[in-house]
Amino acid sequence: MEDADDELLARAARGDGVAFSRLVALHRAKLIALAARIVGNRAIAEEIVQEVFTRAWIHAPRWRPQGGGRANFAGWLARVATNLAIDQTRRMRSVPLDTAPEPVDMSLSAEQQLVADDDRRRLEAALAALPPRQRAAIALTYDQELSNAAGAEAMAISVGAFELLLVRARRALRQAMMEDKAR
Amino acid sequence: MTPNEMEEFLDMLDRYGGRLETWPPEARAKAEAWRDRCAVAAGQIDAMRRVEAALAATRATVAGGANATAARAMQAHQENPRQAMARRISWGVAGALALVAGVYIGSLPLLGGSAPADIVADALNQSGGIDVW
Repeated sequence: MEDADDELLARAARGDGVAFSRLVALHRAKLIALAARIVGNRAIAEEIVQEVFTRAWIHAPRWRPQGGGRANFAGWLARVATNLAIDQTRRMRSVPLDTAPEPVDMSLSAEQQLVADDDRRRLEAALAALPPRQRAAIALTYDQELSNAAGAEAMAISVGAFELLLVRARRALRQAMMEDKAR
Repeated sequence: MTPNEMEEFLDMLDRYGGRLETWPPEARAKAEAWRDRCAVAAGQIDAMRRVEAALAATRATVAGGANATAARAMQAHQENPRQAMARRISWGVAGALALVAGVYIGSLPLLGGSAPADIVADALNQSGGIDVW
């Protein structure tokens, strides 16, 4: 995959639109999930990802892979998306996560499904109450599936600072789940 | 569990998440022992796992649209008239500066000698008025 990214980037840098479309297809879904988690709105997340790829196309001729091409390019995309999403969140009031309706999991019983739906609502409320940077740490870890080191790089902070954001966010979400259960 | 043990356990839980199998071995062994003898600890692990399950369930799913996104990105760049104008102006300014610099350098005297323009004029004079061009 690293080689694929390297090759596609090199071709995109020469103006190859097909190669660029392939790059977009490889990274777009994860970036939308990341941005949607931070801004809490699917439509805005798609606009943010559009801007990320517009910047990627503009900067493609100047892109120089350092080490693993995919890791670097994916990291750069995540960093730009995270920054744009955090900036956007600061400009707007936090709104509930606006994702497409989840398909019903047929492997769950009706009671289990109700519990799962309840947990989702609790999670969304708790996420909306988190500071944007804590939400970004959660999104980079669970949606983008980045290591703490890669997540720290995406947010341009130290690994220790990233772990602190993650610990605080997990604590708040866990406590929200426990408090609701106790009611 | 003592209050200190519970505090240590919750710190680890928030640091490593709800999947004990991914924890460092020493921390995992401690956590499993506490979980087995303390219902509160087990409940906290369950809460963290529910958080993580809900995170997975609410992850935005995306199908298609990549080609449209790529096309809009390329189009947005190509059709940005302000950017295109700025690029044209910058090339124009660079060309004008290069011309001025060339004329200036051509008029400078060489080290201990005449300017290139004078050398050309002398050569023309010495050729007896032959049209060297």
